[in-house]
Amino acid sequence: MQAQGGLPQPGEIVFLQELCRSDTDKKSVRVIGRLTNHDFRACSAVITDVTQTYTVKVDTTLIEPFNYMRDSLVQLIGEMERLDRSGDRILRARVVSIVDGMDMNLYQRVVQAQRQYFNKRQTILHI
Amino acid sequence: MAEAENRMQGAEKETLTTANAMYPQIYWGLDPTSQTFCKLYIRDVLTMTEYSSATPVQGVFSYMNHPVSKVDLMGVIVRVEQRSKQFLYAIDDSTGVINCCCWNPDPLTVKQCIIPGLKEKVEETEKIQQCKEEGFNLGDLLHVRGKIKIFREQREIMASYFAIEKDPNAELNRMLEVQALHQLFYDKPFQLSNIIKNCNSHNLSLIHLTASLQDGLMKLFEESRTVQFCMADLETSEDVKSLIDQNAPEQSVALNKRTLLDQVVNQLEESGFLLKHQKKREHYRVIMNDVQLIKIVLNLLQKECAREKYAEKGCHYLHILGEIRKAEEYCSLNSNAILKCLQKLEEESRIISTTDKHFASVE
Repeated sequence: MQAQGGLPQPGEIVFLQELCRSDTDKKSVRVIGRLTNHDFRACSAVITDVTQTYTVKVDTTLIEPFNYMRDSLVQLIGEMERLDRSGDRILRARVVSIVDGMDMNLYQRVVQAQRQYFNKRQTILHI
Repeated sequence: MAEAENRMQGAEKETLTTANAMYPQIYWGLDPTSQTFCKLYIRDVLTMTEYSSATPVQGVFSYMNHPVSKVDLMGVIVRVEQRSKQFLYAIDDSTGVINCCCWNPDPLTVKQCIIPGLKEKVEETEKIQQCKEEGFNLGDLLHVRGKIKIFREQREIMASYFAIEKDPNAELNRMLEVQALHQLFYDKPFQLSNIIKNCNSHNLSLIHLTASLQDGLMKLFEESRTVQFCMADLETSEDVKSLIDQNAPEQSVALNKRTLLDQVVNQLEESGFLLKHQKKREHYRVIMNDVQLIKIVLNLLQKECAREKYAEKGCHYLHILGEIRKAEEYCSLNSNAILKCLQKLEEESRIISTTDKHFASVE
């Protein structure tokens, strides 16, 4: 992934369930989920998968205050970090946007297709 | 969606090899990517190398071996920097992050609308302009088109068009579109068609040959002070034969000398060095050495300048051409030829040019 001097790292698109399972830290990710349990005083929130099985805690210090509607679909770009005390993994979000109306089926298929294409490309173009 | 997927799978079979030739600058225009805003991934925009050519051209990069200078990108704004006359947005499309330099639009001057239907459109445009001046926020989807510039060793996009996309599905459609474009077009190397490759070497050498023959012939005429010649003489002349052999030693056997000489003589006539003889076929007069013609031109100019109409400014060279063409001998004289005559007279200081197209007599 390329990043020029001074600019933030690009947020690689991941699915919420992958974020829950994987262990990698300090990588910039972009994830979409439904915003539930937003506490703006504590600057924390929880985003849920569309199938309502996976959840990830979000630290919203950098993005407060933002236009929050209960259960709206949000896209967050940020870094995964591990909290020392509880050992939980938390997403420190730096960019948020409301993406209500995005076709989640299409999103799944497009991201899968793009990943397949990039894998093929790497082997052929040696990028 | 299914159609697009099938098409992409089919195209994958045709993709790339690693050996891609870099073509010289003269051929870049044949590749559409050199003129269009290419929809590339930001990662590629940042890692592309400059197109290698004999004379390095600034601002042209190569993707595979396509020359690219302008790009069309869409990404989420992750950083906003406001300056006095521009905004610097860093956009992220999940493969990379790049800065886009977006200039503040000039304020709209059309405030009063005569046509009522147009008023709504103008108000809408004003609103959009206002948003652009206030700046966009983090998280907005920005669609930008512009040239790649290198500023302080970092690549930036100098935006000629930028706008916010409000529909979140726009990004998904965009991802599909970019992938399809890559598989169908960008990932295939830029190849010159075989016709051009074959045609190129042959034609270029022919052009060089005729050019050098033209120069050689004119020198010959000057030295020998020929006023008139015919094509048959030219073909059989020893000097001309040696000239052709000098310039194209390998090809002199295969080349048809007559057609070559015809071509050269035609070009010389068009440029105004030779004049076709009216009565004798295949005879030509060399204008530079034709003392008679030059005298006629001079007399004509003196006569016309004596008239009040042309006394001050002189005659336009086309007017002289018209007068001379009235004589039967010189009815096929062309404008280049008359200019050359007039220029020769000027060199001898017998006439002067009052403007670049008007001439006046001195005596």
